[in-house]
This record gives sequence, structure tokens and C-alpha cells, in this order.
Amino acid sequence: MSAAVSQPDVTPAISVKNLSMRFGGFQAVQNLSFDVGHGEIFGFIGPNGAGKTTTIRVLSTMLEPTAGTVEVCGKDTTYDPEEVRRLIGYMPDHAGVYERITVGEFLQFFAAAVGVPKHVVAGVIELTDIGPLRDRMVTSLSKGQKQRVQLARVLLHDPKVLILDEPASDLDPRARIEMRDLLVDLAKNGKTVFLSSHILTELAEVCTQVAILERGRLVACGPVDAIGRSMRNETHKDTARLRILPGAHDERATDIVRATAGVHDVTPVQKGFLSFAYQGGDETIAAVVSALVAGGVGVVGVEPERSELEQVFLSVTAGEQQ
Amino acid sequence: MNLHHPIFVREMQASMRLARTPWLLMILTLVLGLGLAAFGAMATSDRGNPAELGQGIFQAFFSVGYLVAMIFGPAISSAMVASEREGRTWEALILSGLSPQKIAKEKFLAGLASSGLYIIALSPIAGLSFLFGGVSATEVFLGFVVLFAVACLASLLGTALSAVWKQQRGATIATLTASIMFGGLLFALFGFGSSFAMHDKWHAIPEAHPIWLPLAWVRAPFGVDYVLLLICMPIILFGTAGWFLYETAVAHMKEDTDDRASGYRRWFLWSVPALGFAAMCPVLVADSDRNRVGLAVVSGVLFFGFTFAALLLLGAEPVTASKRVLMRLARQAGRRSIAQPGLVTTIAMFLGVSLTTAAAMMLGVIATLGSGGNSMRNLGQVMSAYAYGAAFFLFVGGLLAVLRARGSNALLARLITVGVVVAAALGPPIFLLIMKATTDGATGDLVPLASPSPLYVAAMFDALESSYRARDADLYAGMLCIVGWTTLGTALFGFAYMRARRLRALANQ
Ligand SMILES: Nc1ncnc2c1ncn2[C@@H]1O[C@H](COP(=O)(O)OP(=O)(O)O)[C@@H](O)[C@H]1O
Ligand SMILES: [Mg+2]
Repeated sequence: MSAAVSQPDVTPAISVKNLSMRFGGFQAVQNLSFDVGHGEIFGFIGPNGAGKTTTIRVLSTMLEPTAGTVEVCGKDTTYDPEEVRRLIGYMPDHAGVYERITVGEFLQFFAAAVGVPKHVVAGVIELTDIGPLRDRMVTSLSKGQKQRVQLARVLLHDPKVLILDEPASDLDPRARIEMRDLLVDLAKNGKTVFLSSHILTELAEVCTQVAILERGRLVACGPVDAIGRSMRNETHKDTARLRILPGAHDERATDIVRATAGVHDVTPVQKGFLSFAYQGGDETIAAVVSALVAGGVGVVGVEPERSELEQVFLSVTAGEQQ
Repeated sequence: MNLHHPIFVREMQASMRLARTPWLLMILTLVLGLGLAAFGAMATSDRGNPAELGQGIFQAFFSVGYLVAMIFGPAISSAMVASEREGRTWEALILSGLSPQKIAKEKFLAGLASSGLYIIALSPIAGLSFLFGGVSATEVFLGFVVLFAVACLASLLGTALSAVWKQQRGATIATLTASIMFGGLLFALFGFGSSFAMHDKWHAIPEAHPIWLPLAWVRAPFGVDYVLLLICMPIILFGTAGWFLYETAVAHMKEDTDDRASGYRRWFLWSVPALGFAAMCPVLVADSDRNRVGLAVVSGVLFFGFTFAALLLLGAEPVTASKRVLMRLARQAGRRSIAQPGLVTTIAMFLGVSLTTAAAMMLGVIATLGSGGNSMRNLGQVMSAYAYGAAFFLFVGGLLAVLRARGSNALLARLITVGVVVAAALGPPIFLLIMKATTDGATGDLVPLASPSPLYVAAMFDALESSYRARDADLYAGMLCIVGWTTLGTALFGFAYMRARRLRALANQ
């Protein structure tokens, strides 16, 4: 089996082929195709109403596609829903918890429901690091803690593929970082993670692949930097903000930056800050900095204005309301 | 946690932590105990007959018990499924691999356990009644048996409506409304109303006492009538109602992609013959042929009313099932049942089962009719009533099938069907009245004008009562319409069948 890993035709963890989903007269998802490899953290990204949850409900066997097929580890979600349910751990968006029940009882309940022995609960509690919460009422937990409990629940039957719908929405920044680290841990443990989001920043660092969805159609799919690169080659521009030592160099600095290859739209220096749009990635930035230094302008710092993924997202979903 | 009943255990854990439960129990017990004691004190000072007092307390206690079961039971269980949906725990639960059947059963049991708690808390008060005499310990025990059955139905009602409504509040309001309305109706009809008939039949059963069934079980002499009226009828009525509610819960817990109506179809298949038999019970024990014919007509009307409602509610299936369901059926092709999904098979099954049962009912009545001087008239009346009912029912089935096969959505198909049925039933008699009024009754026999209405059976009865030869025309008009509705129904169904086959062929391409 291990030899098969290097072969290109190994069954992907998730395989979506020409998926379309129609509700009455409304086309929610149209002709979607993508594969998710084993061990990936796959970001499924798009503005609200793009069709992420609809696609996820098909993946998790809750909906039958109008057309196309979806397979999880080679099992068809339409024809083998029971098999697929054993393979996946699905965490719905805004997943709820039960009232008047402790974290331990909550997990015991789902352990009994999925039919795994009691001692598994201790394992998932350790894995998700919620031991101290064990005897607290689930309803009394913070959003981030609840989300960890939900992840623990999803892990009970040791699924190969985790399907998480908006796992980081409603979380405060700290909880978001913790969630991110947890997902990376899980991927290291061999899980495939498929997660959706309409906010990007929190996912940029952890996703190995992303698919960007807009109005039910796939607009981009692949590794984050590859998408970024293909965008740059076309119309995409990054913007950066430059901070220079205040002084008499403002005019000269603006000119130097403007003269560098790959730079457009320079906004003149104001209170020591200068911003510009550029193409060509980090090389352009480096060229700008060395030209400035050579010209005697003291450079204090350079920062890209938005994260790479967010830029990609904004440019491919341009005109969409968030 | 118990591996076999996780939902039940979790619901119990949660309800034990609900602070209001013990308070409610205490208040309820106190109020009821004091109320009954006061009732006792007042009644004794008036009449001083302790036996009658015991009877009174028995009736009062179980009436209140009925009320508690009908209100607490559904109120508790009505939140059980809806709260999972509203609280967004539903997807996790259904994907955990627990079947909707299992979830429905455990939710029902959890609801029953909670309302059972109230009943148990009240039970010592029931002891008051046989302390005073007038009722035996066995009767009190049987009173609890009936109360338990009522509590089961009430909890099932809550579970079912909880699955139908997606919001907890809506589910609770709907359940309480339904349980108060149905509970009140059943209490008035089966409790209070039928106690008079029961008293007529067996004088040992007191008149106007709604809780008569446990008394009847002890006091009525055992025999065929006892078995039919006191055992078969209650069991069939409770059983089919409970089963229906259970299947309602299951159907509404299944996803859209599943074969939601399969449980309903199985229920229909068994309930229709059972209810047909239950409807026959009073007919079989009737003491004269005159009464027998009357009761047979009432039973027939109730029976067709029931099958009509069931057809409307459950028969408006889509032409074909989802891919997942079709695949599942194909895998188990070896053991096909007649409860298959799909519009045409469903309606064919409904019509087949209903009409066969109606035919059996009719034959049953005819077999028990005497051979006196009026035997031909009795025979004619029973046959015309059942034949007209069956013919018209066939038409309704055909109509619904065509509407669905032609692509109307379920709701529209139902509305059109009801509209057509009302028009067909009321239109012709109204037309007859108008004609009568405008022609001053001068021109010949106008009665046959009303013959397309199923209500025309009344005119056929009249014609059969009368020895006047001219009324034969009325009878022939009725027969003609029976043939007419049968032909039309068959044709419509045939059309639906062809259409559905074409649609399936298209889908398979
Ligand atoms: N059951 C349904 N019936 C009708 N429309 C639906 C249904 N589910 C989703 N939609 C519609 O499909 C679109 C996509 O929804 P969704 O998949 O929830 O988007 P996202 O999760 O990306 O925000 C929305 O416009 C939504 O209104
Ligand atoms: Mg969504």
C-alpha cells in the first residue's frame, strides 16, 4: 500500500466531479470539479451565499447532487452514504451543543451514538486539549472552547477526512490561532482537513490548497502561492507601504520608487509613508529598497498592505458583497 | 453512558438538572390532592353515599390524569426533535449513524418517562377513590393502564409534531393546540359520548362517566361483543393512531434524499384493513337489521372519509424516488414489497387496499343481515352505499395521480382534488334545489339531477324504501353514476400510469 503513495492515480481523499446543485429554479452550485489529496488542509473559500455549505452538505451525504458525483476515499456519497459517514467527521457551521449536560457527557453521548467504546473519549479530550473543561456545562463554554469540543466530537470515530464548515467564524483572534494550530496538528496526524471560510486571513498560513468559489462556480483552485502567481501574471497587482526616515528626501524617494521596474501608482510621501502598487512579487520590493538605499534614502520598513491570499480572494471575487 | 439508549440517557440527564421539574411535580400533586379532598368533603356532606363518592373521585382523578397526560406529555416531547434542529445539533446526530427510527423511539421514550413521572407522582391520590368504595382496585389499576396508553399517544404526538416543525416554539404551540383539540374531542366523543351507548348495552357501566373503559373491562360480561367492542376496537384505534404518529416522526426526520414515505405506506397497508375491521365491530354487534344497515352506512362513511384523508396526505408522492433510494431498491431487488416508492405504485396500493377492505366490509355486513321481509331493501341499501363510495374513491385516486403525474406540486394537487371533491359532492344537489325552485316542482322527477354527487346515496336509500315504481329511475341514475365514476377513475389512473412511465423513461436516458 505504501508504494502507492508515489503513484499519481491514488484515490484522492475527496473527489468532486462536475457537481451541480439546483434548488427549484435556483442554481446554487454549478459544474464544480476538484480533488483533495490525503493529508492536505484544503481551504474552500468564497463570500457568503457562494454555495460552500451546499457543497459541504453534498460531501457529507446530507444532499443528493442534481448532477455530478462526489467521492470520499473512493466511496460515492449518493450511493454509499453509510460508508462515507464513517469516513468523514462533519462539523456544521454554527454547530450547537446540548443544554444541561457536561463536556464529558456530551462526548460520551456521541461516542455511544457512533458506537465507539468509552475510553475513546479520553483520547479525543487529550488530543484537543480540553481536559480542564471536562466537567463544565457545555453551554457555559466560550465560543473557542465550544469549537474545540465540537472538534473532539468529530474525531470520536477516527474519521479520515474532517469536513469543517466555517470553523473559525465567530472566534476571537486568540481562539482562531489555537484552532489553526489544532488543525495543523491533525493534518500531521494524517487527517485530511476540508474547511470553508468567507474570511481569509486566518487560513492563509495553514492551507496547503485552496479553491475559491463565487456564485456557485469555481474561479480558482490550487496551492495558495500558485494561485497568487497566476494572478500576478495577469492583472493582479500587490500594494505595499514603505516607511522612510523623515527628512528632505521625500521628492527624491518618490521619484526613485516610480523609476523602479514593476512599480505603478505611487502615492507621494506623507508623514514618512509612501505606498505603491507593484507586480513581480518580492523581487520588485527588493529592487525598490536597494534603489532607495543607493539613492541615500533611509528605509525604515516595508510591509505588503494585505496578505497574499486575501489579495487573491479580493481580486477573484471582485464586486461581490461580503 | 449506556451504549444502547444514548438519546434516552442524555434526555434524562438533562431533565434531572432542570430545576423546575420537582417543583411542578409537588405543586401538581398538592393541588390535585387538595382539590379531590375538598370535592370529597363537599360531596359527603350533601349525599353521604361513600360508594358514589368513590366513583366520583375515580372519574375526577382519571379525568385530571388524562388532562395532565394530554398536556405535559406533548409539551415535553414537542421540543425534543425541534430543539435539535434549532440548536444545530441535528446534523451531528443524524450523521452519527443513529437511524431516524431509533431516534424517534428514544425521543418518544424520553417524553413518556417525563410525563410518566407526573402520573406516578399523582398515583397515590387515586388510592382515595377505592378507599371510599364504589370502584375496585382492579378498576383503578386498569384506569392507569388506559392512562398509560393515553400518555403514550400524547408523547408520540409531541414527538411527531416536533419532527414536523423545524422551530421549537412552533412545534410546542402546534402540539399543545393539537393535543388540547384532539384530546378534548376524543374525551367528549369516546369518553363522554360513547358512555351512553355503552350504558345502553351493558347497564353495569354508569352513564355519562367519561372514564368508562376500565370499568367496562371489569363489569361487562365476557363474550363476542366484549371482545369486539372492548378489546379489538380500542386496541386497533390506539395502535393505528400511535403507529401513524411514529411514522410521521420518522418520515420527517429522514432527509429529502431518503424514501420518506416508506413507513407511511407500510402503515397504510396494515391500518386500512385493521380500521375497516374496527369500523365493522359495532355493525357486527347491532341488535337489529335496521340498526345494522344504519351503522354499516356510518362505518362506510367514516372508512372512506379516513382513506380519502390518508390518500390526500400520503398519496401525493413524486413520480419517482431519488437516485439513492432507487439504488437501494435495486440492491434488494430480491425481496420486493408492495409498499414501493413512486406515485403510481403508491396510489395503486392505496386504491387496492382500500377497495378490497371496503368490499370485505360490505360482504361482512351482507353476511350478517337476516333474511326477513325487508332483506332485499337492506341488501340494496348496503350495496348502493358501498358501491358509490368505492366508485367515487377510485375517481379521487385517479384524479390525484393524474395531477401529480402532470407535474403539479403536492400541495396544489391536494387543493385541486379537494376542490373537485367538494364541487362534485355539493354541486349536483345545489343544482337540483335551484331547478326545483325555478320549475315549482311541476315537471316530472328531477331527483336524478343530483346523482353525480356521492350524497345521492341518500336518494337511493329513499328509492329503496319506497314501493312506488316511479322511483326506480332514481335508482338507475345512481347506478349509472357508479359506473361513470368507476370508468372515469380507471381512465384517469391509466393516464397517470402512462405519463409516469414516459417520465421515468425520459429520466433514465
Ligand atoms: N435548501 C435550499 N433551498 C433553496 N436555496 C438554498 C437552499 N440551501 C441553500 N440555498 C441557497 O444557495 C445559495 C448558497 O448557499 P450556501 O451554500 O449556504 O452558501 P455559503 O455557505 O457559501 O454561504 C444561497 O443563495 C442560498 O440561499
Ligand atoms: Mg455557509
